[in-house]
Amino acid sequence: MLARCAHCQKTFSTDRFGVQSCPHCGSAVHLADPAAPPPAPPPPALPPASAGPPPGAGAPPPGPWPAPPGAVAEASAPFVRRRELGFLNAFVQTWKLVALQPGAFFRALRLGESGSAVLFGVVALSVSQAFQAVYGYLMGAAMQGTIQGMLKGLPEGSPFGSEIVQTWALGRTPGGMVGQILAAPLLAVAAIYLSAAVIHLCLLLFRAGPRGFDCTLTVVGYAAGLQLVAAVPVPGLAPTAATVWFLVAAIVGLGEAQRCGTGRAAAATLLPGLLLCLCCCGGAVAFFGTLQSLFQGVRGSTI
Amino acid sequence: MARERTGRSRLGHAEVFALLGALSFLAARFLPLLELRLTCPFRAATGLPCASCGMTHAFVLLARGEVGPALAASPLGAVLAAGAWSFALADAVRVLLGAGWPRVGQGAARGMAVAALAAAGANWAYLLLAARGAP
Repeated sequence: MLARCAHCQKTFSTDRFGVQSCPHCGSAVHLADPAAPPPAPPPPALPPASAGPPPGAGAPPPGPWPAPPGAVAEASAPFVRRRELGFLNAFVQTWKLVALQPGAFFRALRLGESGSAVLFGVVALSVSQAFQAVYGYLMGAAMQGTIQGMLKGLPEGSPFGSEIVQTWALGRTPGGMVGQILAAPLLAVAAIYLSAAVIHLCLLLFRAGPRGFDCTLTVVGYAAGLQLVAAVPVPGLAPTAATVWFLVAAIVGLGEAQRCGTGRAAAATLLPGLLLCLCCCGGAVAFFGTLQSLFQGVRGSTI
Repeated sequence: MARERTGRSRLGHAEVFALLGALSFLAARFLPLLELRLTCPFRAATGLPCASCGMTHAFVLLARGEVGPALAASPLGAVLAAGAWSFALADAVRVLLGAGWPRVGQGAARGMAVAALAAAGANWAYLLLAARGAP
């Protein structure tokens, strides 16, 4: 039979139950016998330490090994059993577990089923993108006059002045909206795989990825399902809440699934985010500076 | 009756990355990415290039066969583009031949991660120096 070491996470073959040493790292591995009866309840009171063993007592009788502290029974996510449970039911059950009990969910998650995790994330991201495309189209149509006036006031050579950007800002066409919705699944696959690759690279830097890329991809895929929150029609707040929730679930999930602890998982997950934030903060300053100059220009031309 | 799943061919992670690499070539070669003329937010705020500045230019220029300008725009971007497209090609050949990828151990993978971080740092240093020397 195959056994997995709880310390180094590597597998090895063995033909017996009980305590044995891992051939890879030398740690003691407890393999509980599934056919053994449940452990007997503990004695009501332990003898005092100074009393020593009773006369005639030898070695303790061989019995079932208690479960090691870190041992968990791995199980598939409900979404893996979507044919049995129904797609929507399995999706909702999995979403609730990822959102509300990420620690317990990812700790007990069985590996080798990353395809379902990616599909889960792709479905959520695609639905979210579709809703955001529709909101963008409707808002663009409603604010077309205002945006047109602002774009006319842009100085020559402004980065917001290109034809493509102006077309985008002036509210997408219905065709553009449909194109965005159709491209969403492909972009979602790219986003999940590239995010997982970058995060796994950082995990390797912190020596925190013993269970491999498949484990990281599984966590990122299921955590990406939380981006469904971004479909809520609250511009700005919903995508921010979805991103924060995703980060929390990914950090907790990687800490549990990779068995590396929350600290190293947080460092690995937030490192690329911090670099990106550096760019985003600069971008926010530049964006609001441009907006301020635009509004000043509009006010000046009106007066 | 439950179908036997063992032995069914399935898309691996390597094939997904190869597909993304191939798509990045098609996008860089045929989409008007440089027409967007979007300024890097970090550069707009500080006047300095960020670590990933010039990547789009490097991908597009290399896809057009302009190796020198691509390397000048972002050495890491050019290497990344060449690596991604070579990987896509190699994976296609591997699938056709039915061969396998060599297994990479934890130590080697960590070494590659450290090398990638060092390359990103060196690339940023080059971009900062190039921006300082620019008129």
